Amino acid sequence: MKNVFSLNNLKVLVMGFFLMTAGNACTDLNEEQYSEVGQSTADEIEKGLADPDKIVLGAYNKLGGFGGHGGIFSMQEISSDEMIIPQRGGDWYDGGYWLRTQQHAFGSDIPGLDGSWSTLYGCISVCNRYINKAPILIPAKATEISSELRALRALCYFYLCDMFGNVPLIKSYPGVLEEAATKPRTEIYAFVESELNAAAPALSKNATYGRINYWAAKAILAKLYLNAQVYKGAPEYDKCIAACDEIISSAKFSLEANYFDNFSPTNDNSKENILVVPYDQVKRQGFNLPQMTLHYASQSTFKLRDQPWNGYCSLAEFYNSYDAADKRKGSFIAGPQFAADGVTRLLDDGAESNDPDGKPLNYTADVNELFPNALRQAGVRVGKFKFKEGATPDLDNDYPLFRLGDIILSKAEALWRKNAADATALVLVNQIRTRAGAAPFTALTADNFLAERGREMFAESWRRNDMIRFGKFFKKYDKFKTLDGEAACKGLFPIPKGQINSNTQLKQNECYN
Amino acid sequence: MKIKVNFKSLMLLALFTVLSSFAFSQKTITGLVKDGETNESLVGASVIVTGTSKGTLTDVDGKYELQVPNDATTLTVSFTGYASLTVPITGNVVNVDLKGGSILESVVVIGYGSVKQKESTSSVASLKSADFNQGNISSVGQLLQGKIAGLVVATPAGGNPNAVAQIRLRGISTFGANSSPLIIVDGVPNVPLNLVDPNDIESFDVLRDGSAAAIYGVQASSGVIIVTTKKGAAGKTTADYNVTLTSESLATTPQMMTASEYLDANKAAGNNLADVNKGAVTDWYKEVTRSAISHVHNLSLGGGLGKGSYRASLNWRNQQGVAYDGYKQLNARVNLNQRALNDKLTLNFDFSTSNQDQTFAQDEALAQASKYVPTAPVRFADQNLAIAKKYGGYYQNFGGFDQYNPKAIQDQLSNNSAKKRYTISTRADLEIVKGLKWSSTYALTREDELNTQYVSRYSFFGGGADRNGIATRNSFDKSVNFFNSYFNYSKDLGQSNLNLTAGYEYQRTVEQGFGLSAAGFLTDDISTNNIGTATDFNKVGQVGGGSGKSGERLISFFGRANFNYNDIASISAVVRRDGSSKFADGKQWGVFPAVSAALYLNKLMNLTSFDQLKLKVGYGLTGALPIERYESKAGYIIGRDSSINSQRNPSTNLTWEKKGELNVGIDFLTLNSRLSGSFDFFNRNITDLLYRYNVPPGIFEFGTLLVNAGELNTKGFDFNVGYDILQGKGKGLNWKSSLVLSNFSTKLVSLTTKDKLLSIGGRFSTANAGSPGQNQTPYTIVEEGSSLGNFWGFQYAGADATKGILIKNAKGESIKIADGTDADKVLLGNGLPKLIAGLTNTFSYGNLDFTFFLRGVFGHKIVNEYRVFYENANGGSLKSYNRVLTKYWDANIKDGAYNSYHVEKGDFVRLDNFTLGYTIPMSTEGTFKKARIFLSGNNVATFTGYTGINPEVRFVDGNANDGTGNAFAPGIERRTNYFTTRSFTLGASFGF
Repeated sequence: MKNVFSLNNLKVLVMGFFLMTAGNACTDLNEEQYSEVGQSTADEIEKGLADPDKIVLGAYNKLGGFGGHGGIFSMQEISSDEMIIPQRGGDWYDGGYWLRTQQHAFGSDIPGLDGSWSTLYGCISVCNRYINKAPILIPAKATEISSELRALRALCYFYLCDMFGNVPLIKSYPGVLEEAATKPRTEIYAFVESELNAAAPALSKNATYGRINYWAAKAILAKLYLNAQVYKGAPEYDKCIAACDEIISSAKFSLEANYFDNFSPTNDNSKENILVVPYDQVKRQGFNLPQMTLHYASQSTFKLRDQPWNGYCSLAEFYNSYDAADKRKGSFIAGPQFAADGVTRLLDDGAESNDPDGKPLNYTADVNELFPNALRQAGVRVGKFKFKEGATPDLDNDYPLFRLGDIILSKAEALWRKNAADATALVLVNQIRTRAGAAPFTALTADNFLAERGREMFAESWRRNDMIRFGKFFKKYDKFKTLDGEAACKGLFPIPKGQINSNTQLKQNECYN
Repeated sequence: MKIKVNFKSLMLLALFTVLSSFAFSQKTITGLVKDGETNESLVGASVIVTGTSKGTLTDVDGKYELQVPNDATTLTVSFTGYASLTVPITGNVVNVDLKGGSILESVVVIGYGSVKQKESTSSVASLKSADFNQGNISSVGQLLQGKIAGLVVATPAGGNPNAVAQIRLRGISTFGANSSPLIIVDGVPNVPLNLVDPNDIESFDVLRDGSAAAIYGVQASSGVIIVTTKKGAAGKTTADYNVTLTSESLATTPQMMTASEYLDANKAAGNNLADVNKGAVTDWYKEVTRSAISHVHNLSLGGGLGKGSYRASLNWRNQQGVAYDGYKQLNARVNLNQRALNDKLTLNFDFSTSNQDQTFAQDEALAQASKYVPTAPVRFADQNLAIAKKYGGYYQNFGGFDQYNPKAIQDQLSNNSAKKRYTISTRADLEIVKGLKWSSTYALTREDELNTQYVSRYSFFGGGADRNGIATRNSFDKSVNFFNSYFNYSKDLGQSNLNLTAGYEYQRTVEQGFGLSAAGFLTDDISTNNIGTATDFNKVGQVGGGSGKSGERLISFFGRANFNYNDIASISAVVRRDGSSKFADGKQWGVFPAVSAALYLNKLMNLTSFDQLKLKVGYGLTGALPIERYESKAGYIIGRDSSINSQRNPSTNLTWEKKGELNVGIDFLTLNSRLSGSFDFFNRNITDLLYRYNVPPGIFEFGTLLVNAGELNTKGFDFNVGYDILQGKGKGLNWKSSLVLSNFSTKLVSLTTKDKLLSIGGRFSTANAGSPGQNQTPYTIVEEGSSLGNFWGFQYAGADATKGILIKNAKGESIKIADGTDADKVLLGNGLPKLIAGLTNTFSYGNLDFTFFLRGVFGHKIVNEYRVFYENANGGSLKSYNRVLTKYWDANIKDGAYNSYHVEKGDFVRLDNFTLGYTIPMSTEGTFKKARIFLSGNNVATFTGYTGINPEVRFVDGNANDGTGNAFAPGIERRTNYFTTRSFTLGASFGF
């Protein structure tokens, strides 16, 4: 049989084929990024944005971690007298972290601290990136954009200053490890102040939903100054008053007649909120308060998509500090619970035999014990942010960071701290009380002032800050807290262990070494 | 008599032989080929004039007749299972006695070629089909389980027919991807094992050590398993049909209380029985399981004519699981082989396809079956209650956390997957000049799957009842293009021989997926089949959907030189250069060399009592890639609000993880080949470990960064020995026994980067227990300088009627567990085993054969999570969930909190398999040429002190095979673990 191909021809063919494949394509290791864009495309998109200031949105997205379980909200609330997460039998022990937070046995291992830290510095990193890139990407609007980002970054440092105090001051992009070293709280304070003052002139004075405008910058400054005594050891009440006045007299904001309109699923229309985290079931997810607070069975009340976890609740002392006439008492879900029809009593088949209410679900203000066997139904629940029927774990309710009510009380407090008999201070506080339907005060004391702030600002992540300023934070303030006369350094949380592990330049805070 | 031939083909072949031999001057040789030991004549043995394609096959009496050229001097005689023999033509009658399968002559596949076992210089273990595990085999990994020293095939999921075995070679070699060995099927890497039906596999060759695996470079850090499928053979036409029928039943579940035990415990705890007695007695395990019946059919045809051969097979599996799960699978495989150009060119074509329809078990139904109160009824007594109607009649216990009727979950949720996979592979081998061969393979592997999940509009679990039914569809598509081309040159230099290999390889993988989930249906009938009708589409923000696509490239150059000197010494050197798209520019290429050598001590020292005594030493470097594809690159996603969101911290210095492995071993064959075995010691050092560090946020946008850091060391040994106990002295009874033993220990030397900038800070804890109540309770500690897999927690010190669980604190005092802090926690044992053993015994007597296989794993501990959560006698807990009742039960334990009491010894010995077979004597004239029937039992008995479900090793926590599992936390039996099953299989095989 004769060969169709001669062997020699075939050899050449084979060698040629081999060399071709080896030489041509085949050392090319470039791989396409199919479902994301690479650096150069991202740069092009950023340059070509019709609305160039949208590049700041990536930074705001980072604040989505504010309101969820295990973040800033959790740490600021559970360490205060507003809320606890008791251990309910086999549920909610969670390594004892929440019990220890309530007991002020703060440890650097508490996961919520790391969560808060990461949220804030993640936002700072994106701010740094675009502060750095704005002049190159969008030269025409570079000042507005970088000013807004500087203000947002200052907001993050404000929270860091409040929670951890002594933290790294990271301003460069790309990050340089030299900036990872701990800076004293006073330096952080000074940075927040100077950045906000520098940024403010270029910020919009119009409403900018979910974004920092001129007024939001002033609000941050007002709160910074109000706490100056704590943050840097010297008061700045006059500057606080000035910042508050600027906001109040601008007439851009007004108290909502209905307090709860500031917290409803449609609170994006609130005229009182100055800066919110614009949570949204779709666009900015992460606020899952119903899961955090409600009893499992309450799923039926609101036809929630997902079952709640029966965690966060308030304490009798706090709940009972509201007058019966105080409309703000509606901030809690209390008493017998019903299905969505409002008629069918919800049942808790797992109710303990020592629960006087038995199976029918009844949220009672008194919590029998912090651990290990808090009753499943014990504690009134957080109802300030109205739950939309059929809500998913991503609420539509925006979370207010700054609102006019707080600014009014802040101005009042600054005035009162300068002069305990200041008449304007009393008028301002009573303005807030009157809106709530509560009887006006006749005089201001440290106790009634702090209590009033508590009632007004419940569940808005200010309670720890307020209690520290009034000194109550360090005392034995409720039936479960055992420590009394704690050292002032307990006014700061420990630097998270994970952060210290990954960054040798960090120094642990005073109380925690 | 052994019959392996079809007369027609024999005649045709004879005809060809006769026709093609006219032109030459020839002589006729006749002879008889038989088994040298048994004197049984061998039917269908091939007799070829050495160095030519001229040949014939022996007839039904083992005789042959062959025209050979006058100048021919030797004949080569071969038969499957026997060593080939080349004999001189000494006259017109040449009788040949073949010797049964000498290990030394058997061929070992080593990647881009093969060598004889005796010439292999590194640690390669082979397993032929005759030695595979038998019986109820639903996945390829089970064939190998316990058979190869150093290769651990763990199946903690027990009876789950859809589970994939956790395969680890020589323990832990990396934390991320490639922790399972690389699988090569007929020269094509990364073929999904489902594509290969167990019935189609001829052999496995396991490249155990670094010097053997280095030829596969970066994919080979965890070793290589080379799968060779069965092929047709020229001149032999076979048709085989195998069938098995398996009955499978529940073997082990957690030891939960019965309804009466549960009521007693509640009474003892002072609970009001009216609260906990829901009026029924339900065995939830019985409700959610069944006896499963599976059947497997396998039909194969093979043969060849002249210059071609073929094999085609069809496999049908209907595999049921006890949890109302299972799969149906039709696999087809065709192999065609043709020689051309005077046999210089061989063309090979492989096509294999797999169509699999899977029904998955509802993990949560199994988990709830353990904890759901046993006094609860399956269905509401009054089906007219509004609540009964809402939940499809199933009883539900409201107001509890995480309490769902197990049977309702099983009936009201569905989770299915339809998978289509195929590989098309072509290969050419060309002998360019004598000794120089060129080979090239192109293969396309494609996997396509459609996953559908539906939650009924009456389901409490998964929220179906609140959302009127939830439908989810995901599709997933993966394609791998593979090409290689290499040269092989071999030269016989008289006393020595040389073999050189060099080549190029290209692999490109592209994966894409699409998913959609929406709720709101008026009926369950539509299920996931018309998702667009969901009322969710009328609402904002309820429909979830998305798609994604990613790809990677891997390019390699490789070379190998083997040199053997007079069977006294062999040396082999390998180098591979690999490039991957996953790494940063400038860091993409890595070089992986290896060298190994063997000394034949029996020849050097003239030890005649040994057929082989070979000392092997090898060192090889291999690499590992990260799982994630774009870690070295910046990537952004444009959000729906036009925000531009970075996806990761780009790791700009990311490069290869490297594993250097030293292997020293001895292969021996002695006592007239009665005793054979090998012993290998290995020491692996993994450097530039791929590890996802916590990095300072702020400096980085995200808190983690994948970098090369740290060092891991694994060392241990593999030992196997086979002994022919009776060796013909058993008066017809044969008894062979083989034992494999292996050990490894893994130490985490460091998790700090070379520049010391990133460090884990000495230690961290991982693998949290979970809900309820122990979300932040870690099981395991990871510590630099310590063994991997250490459990960590409080030391149990008894339980007190008032204080509950007591633990030892750091000062040695007994304190309440609630008062313990991290400072009181100690190491509680290790989740990785110290010794892994397998013992096979094979007996045959006449037509009867019997095999049993015992497998043991020793020295590991297991966290029994059922006990961690459901052992405390606290009144509230007792009311919520059923309790585990084991020898550990103590009514004084009131806290559900992890401690040393829950860490149990995992040692076990399992009668994995026995098979009793009978070969039916057949007349050679009948339709059936051979027939065998057998009865097999799998997981027949387990001897262990462990009180959970399965004492099997768990190498990772979570998914073992996609790289997402936590390799720091082995040995945790989670509460969704599948139950173990026991099965018996009746099988028959026929040859036509």
